[in-house]
Amino acid sequence: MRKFIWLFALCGLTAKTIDVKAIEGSTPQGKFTVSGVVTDAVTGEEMIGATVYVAETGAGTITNAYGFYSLTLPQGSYNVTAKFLGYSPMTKNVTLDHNIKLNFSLEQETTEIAQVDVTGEKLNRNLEHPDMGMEKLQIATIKSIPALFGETDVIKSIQFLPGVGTSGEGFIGYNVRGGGTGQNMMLLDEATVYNAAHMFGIFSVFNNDALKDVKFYKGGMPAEYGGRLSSLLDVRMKEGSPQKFGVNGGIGLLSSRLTVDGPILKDRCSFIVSGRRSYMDMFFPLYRDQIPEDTKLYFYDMNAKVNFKINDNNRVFASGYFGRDVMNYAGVMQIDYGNRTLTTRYNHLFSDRLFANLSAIYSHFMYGLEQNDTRWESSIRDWNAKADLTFFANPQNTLKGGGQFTYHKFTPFTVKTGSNSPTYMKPQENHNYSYEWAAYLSHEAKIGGLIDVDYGVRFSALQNTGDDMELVFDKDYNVIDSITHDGGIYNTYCGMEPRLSVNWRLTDQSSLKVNYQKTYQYVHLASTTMSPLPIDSWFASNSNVKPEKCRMVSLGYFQNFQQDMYAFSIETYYKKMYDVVDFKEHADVMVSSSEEMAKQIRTGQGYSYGFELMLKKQEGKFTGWLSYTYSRTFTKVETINNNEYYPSNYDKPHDLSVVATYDVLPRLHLSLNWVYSTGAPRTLPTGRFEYNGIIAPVYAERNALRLPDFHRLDLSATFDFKTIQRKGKPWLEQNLNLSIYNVYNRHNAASIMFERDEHNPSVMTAEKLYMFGIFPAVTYNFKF
Amino acid sequence: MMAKSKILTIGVLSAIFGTSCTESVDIKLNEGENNRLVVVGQITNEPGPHSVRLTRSTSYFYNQPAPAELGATVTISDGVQTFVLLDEDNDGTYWTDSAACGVPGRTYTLDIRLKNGESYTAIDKMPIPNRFDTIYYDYTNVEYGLTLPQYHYFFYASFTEQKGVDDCYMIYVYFNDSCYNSNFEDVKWAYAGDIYDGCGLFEDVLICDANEDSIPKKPEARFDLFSVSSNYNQFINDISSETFGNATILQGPPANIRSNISNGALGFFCAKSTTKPYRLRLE
Repeated sequence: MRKFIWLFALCGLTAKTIDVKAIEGSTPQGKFTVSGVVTDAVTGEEMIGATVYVAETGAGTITNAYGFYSLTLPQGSYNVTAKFLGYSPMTKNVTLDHNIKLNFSLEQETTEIAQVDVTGEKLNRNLEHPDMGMEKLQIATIKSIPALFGETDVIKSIQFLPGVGTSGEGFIGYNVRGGGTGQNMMLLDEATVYNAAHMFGIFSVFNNDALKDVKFYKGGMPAEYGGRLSSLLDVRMKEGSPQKFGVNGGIGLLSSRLTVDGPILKDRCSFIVSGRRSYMDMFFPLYRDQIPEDTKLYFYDMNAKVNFKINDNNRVFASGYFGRDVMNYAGVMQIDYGNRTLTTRYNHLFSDRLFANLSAIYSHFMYGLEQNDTRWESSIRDWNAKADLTFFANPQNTLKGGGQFTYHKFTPFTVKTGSNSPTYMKPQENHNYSYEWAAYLSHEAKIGGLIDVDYGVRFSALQNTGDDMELVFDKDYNVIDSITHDGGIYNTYCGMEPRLSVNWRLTDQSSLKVNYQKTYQYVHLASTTMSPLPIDSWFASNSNVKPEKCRMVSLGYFQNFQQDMYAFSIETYYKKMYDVVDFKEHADVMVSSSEEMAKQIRTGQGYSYGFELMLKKQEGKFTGWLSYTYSRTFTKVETINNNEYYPSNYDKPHDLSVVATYDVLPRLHLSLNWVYSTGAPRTLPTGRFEYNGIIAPVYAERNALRLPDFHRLDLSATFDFKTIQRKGKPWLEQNLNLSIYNVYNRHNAASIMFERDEHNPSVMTAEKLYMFGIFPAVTYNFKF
Repeated sequence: MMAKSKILTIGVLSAIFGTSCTESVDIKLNEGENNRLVVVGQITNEPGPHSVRLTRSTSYFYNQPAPAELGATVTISDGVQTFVLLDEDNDGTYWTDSAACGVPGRTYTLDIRLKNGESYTAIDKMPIPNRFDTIYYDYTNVEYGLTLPQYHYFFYASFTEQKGVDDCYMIYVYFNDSCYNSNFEDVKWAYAGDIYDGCGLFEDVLICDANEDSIPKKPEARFDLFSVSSNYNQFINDISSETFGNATILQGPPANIRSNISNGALGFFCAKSTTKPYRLRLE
C-alpha cells in the first residue's frame, strides 16, 4: 500500500512537472478553460464518450457520463473539434482569453435506424486510453446480433466477448475471467441490479430502446467503482429528447415494446418512458402435451426518466425501472420475481473545471415461490447515496474523487401460509442489515504524450448492524454457541483497493497496456447454478463469512491496421480470489436467515488464468469480430472435494465466438454468430449402490466430468423499409428482422440426468436436458 | 412424492422455454474403482427376524442386480445381548432368529467380518418410541402438488414432541392392512428437530391421493410410527436429494451420501422403534 501511495505521488508530480512546462511555453496571460456539453443535434441527448480536441496543440479529452467536457489551455485562438463515430465532426473557432462555454450539437451521418451508432467513439480509442479490459458496446451492434426468439439483448451480446462465458444456454448469468455470476456488478443508472433476468434469462431487464450507453469492464475497473470482484456492467438510460417528441417500438414473437420521449419544456426538460410486455404463454396451447392448461408465463417492465436543466451549471435527473416476471404452472405453483430501481441525480458545475454529481439511489430485488397456499419470499433492498467530483486540471491531468454509502436490508426468506393451506405454519420473517461504505481518489495523467496512466485507490468497508444472532462454529462447523446483538454495529470489515492502468503508445497503431486491480466484495451470492430460476440467496459478510477479495494483473498488446479499420488485441491475465463462497455438500439452499445461511456456506480460494485474442473489423460493409479465449479457473473450498482444488462450475478452457454483420444492400443487412465452448464441468456419478431397491449414486471428484462441447450458429437478416417523409422530413422509419436461432438444430446439453428403466429396475440410462432446438423469429421495429 | 421434484424441474423448464426436452445420450463416466461394501441393515424393538443385506457397489451403468457379499460373519450387539446373523439362502441377506428383539434406549453395534479379513462396524442408538396422540382427516377435492383437482385424504397426525430429543419419524399408512407407501421412496418422513423442542404438540400432514387404486372405499386406515435416529434421517435426506432430486431446481451441488458404516463402506445400519399403530375408520 505504501508503494502505491508513493506511486500516486510520483505520477502526480510528474504530470505536474509537464504541466508547468506547458505553462512556461504559453503566453504570460496564463490559461483559460473551454467547457460544455456535446449533444445529438436531432434528439438533444448528451453524448457520452465523444472526443473533443484542439488541432493546434493536440490536446484532447472525452465527454463524461453526462456529456460534459473541460479543456484548460493557454490563451490563444483555437479550432476545437467534437467528434463521435457515426456523426459529422464539428469544429468551432474560439479565441480563448477568458473562460468559455462551448457546446456542440452533432449531426448524424445517416438517419437509418439500424445504422445509428448511438454510442460510437473514435476507432482508435483502444490505443489511446489505459482502460484495458473495457468494452463499450454500441446499441446498433447489440441490435444486429442474431438472438434467441429475435430478442436482442445487452447481456447476450456481452457473452460473445472474449473472457466472458455464459452460465448456460438461454441464461442471463455470465462469468468473467473465471469469476462467478454473483461477482458481476450490474448498474442501471447507478442502481444495482441484482438479477437481470426476465423470463428466466431469455430477456434481460435492459431494454435496448431505453438505453444510451453501455460500458463493460472485465478488468481495469476504475477506482470509482467497486463492490464486485470480477466485472462491471454500467448501463445508462437515455434522457429523452428535449427538442421533439418521438415514438419507437417493436412487435416481436414473444414480446412488444413501446418508447415515447420528448420535451416537457423545450431544451430544458425532457422525459422518456419505455415499456415492454411479453405474451409467450399465448403459444402454450401448441405444446399442450408438455404444458398443462392454466400455465402462465409473462413479464412486464417499464423504464422512465425525467431530466431538468435548471441552468448551465445545474441539472437534475430522476429515473426508475420496474419489472415483474410471473410464471404459474398449471395454476398450482407460482414463481414471481422482479427488480425495482429509482435514481435521482444532481449535476453541478462548481467551475468550468470542477464537475460534481450527487446521487440518491434505491434498488430492490425479490423473488417468491407459491404453492398450496404457502408463499416463500426473499428480497434485498439497498438505499444508496453517492457523491462524485471530477476536476479537469488541464488536458494532461484529471482528478476524480468521491464517496458512497449503501444501507442494505436482506430478507433471506419469509414463509407465509394462508388459512387454506394444509400445512399451516406461523409466519416467519427474518431481516439482516448492513452498511457499506466507500471513498475513492483517482488520477488520469498523460505523461510525455506516449504514456497514459490511470491510477487510484478505493477504501471500502462493511458494517453489520441491527438485531441479529451470530452462530459460533467449531473447526468442524458444529454450532457451539450463539451471540445475540440488540442493535448497533457489531462487526466491521474494511480494506484498500488499489487500481492501476498504464497505456504505452508504442507506435501510432499499437500500444501496450498493463493493469493491476484489487477488489473487495461484501455482498455474496450463494447460487445453486443448477437452474435458470432466480432462486439466488444474497447475503452480506458477517463474522462467519469474510469479504471476498481478488487481485488481478493483466497485460495486453493492441494493434490496429489499415487506418484503424482492423483492431487486434491479445490480453493475458492471472487472478487470485480469496474467501470465495460456495454451498457445502448437502446444503439446504432454501434457508430462512443469515445464521442458517452461515451453516450452509463454506469459503475458500480460487485462481484463474488465461489469454484472450480478438480481431475486430470496425468499418465497412462487413464488420464484426472473431474472439478466442483460453482460460482455466479452479476453486478450493473447505470440506469440499477433500479440500483439494477442483475446476470451478464455469471452467470452460476453450471459447470461440464469431460475430459478423454484412450490409448486402444499403437497406439489407445480414448477421451471423457462431459460438463454441468446451462443455461445462459437472459432478456425475462414477458408481452406484442399491439401498432398499433404490439405485443411489457414488461420486468421485467434484466437477471431474464435463457436458458435451457446446456450439451453435445463429443467423439474422434486417430489412430497412424506405423512410416515409412528411413535409420533407423523415416521419416513419421501419425495419423487419428475421432471425434463426440454432440454425443446425444442435441439442446442446444443459444438464445430464439419469433415469431408471420402467421394466428393468437394474438398468439406468443417461438423458440430457436441452433447452432450445432451431427457432425462427420475426420482429418488426418502427420509429416515428 | 420425491419424484415430483424431477417432474417439476422438467415441467417448469418446459413451461419456460416450450422447446426444452430430454433425449438419451451416451456419456462416458469414470467408472474405475467401484467395489465397496454396501450395507442395508436394521433392527427394531419388534420381534425378528431382522436383516442385514450385504452387496457391492458397481460401476454406474452396471445395469444388473448388485453382486451379493457372501460368507461374511455378521453380528448385532447392544452390550447386553448379541445376535448372530446367518445367510442361510446364500443370497447376501443375513438374518437374526425370530426371537431377536431390540430394546429402545440401547446402542446397537453392527460388526461385519468378510471372508478376506476386512472388518466393518456401524453404531446406531435405538430411540425411545413415540405414539400418535390423535389423527383426524379431511377428504376434499383439491389441487395438490402438481396434480389437477381430485380427491385427497389429508391426515393431520399429532404427537407429543419430546424435549432434548431430535425427533425423526417414519410413518407407514395402511388401508385395510394393505400398505399404501411400502416403496421406500413413498415413506412419509417427519422431523420435529429443534424447532419444536419440548414445545408439546407436533403436527404433521400426510396426503394420500384418494383416486389411486390402492385405496378402497371407506377403508380402515392404520398408521405405524417409527422413531429413528437423526443420523438415519440425514442419510434418508441425502438419498432423497441425490437420487430422487437428481438435477432439480432447488438442489445444491451433488455430493456423496453419508453413511454410518466404517472403513469407507456405503449404506446404513439403523435401529428404530415403534409402538402400537393408530387406527381410524374413514367415511
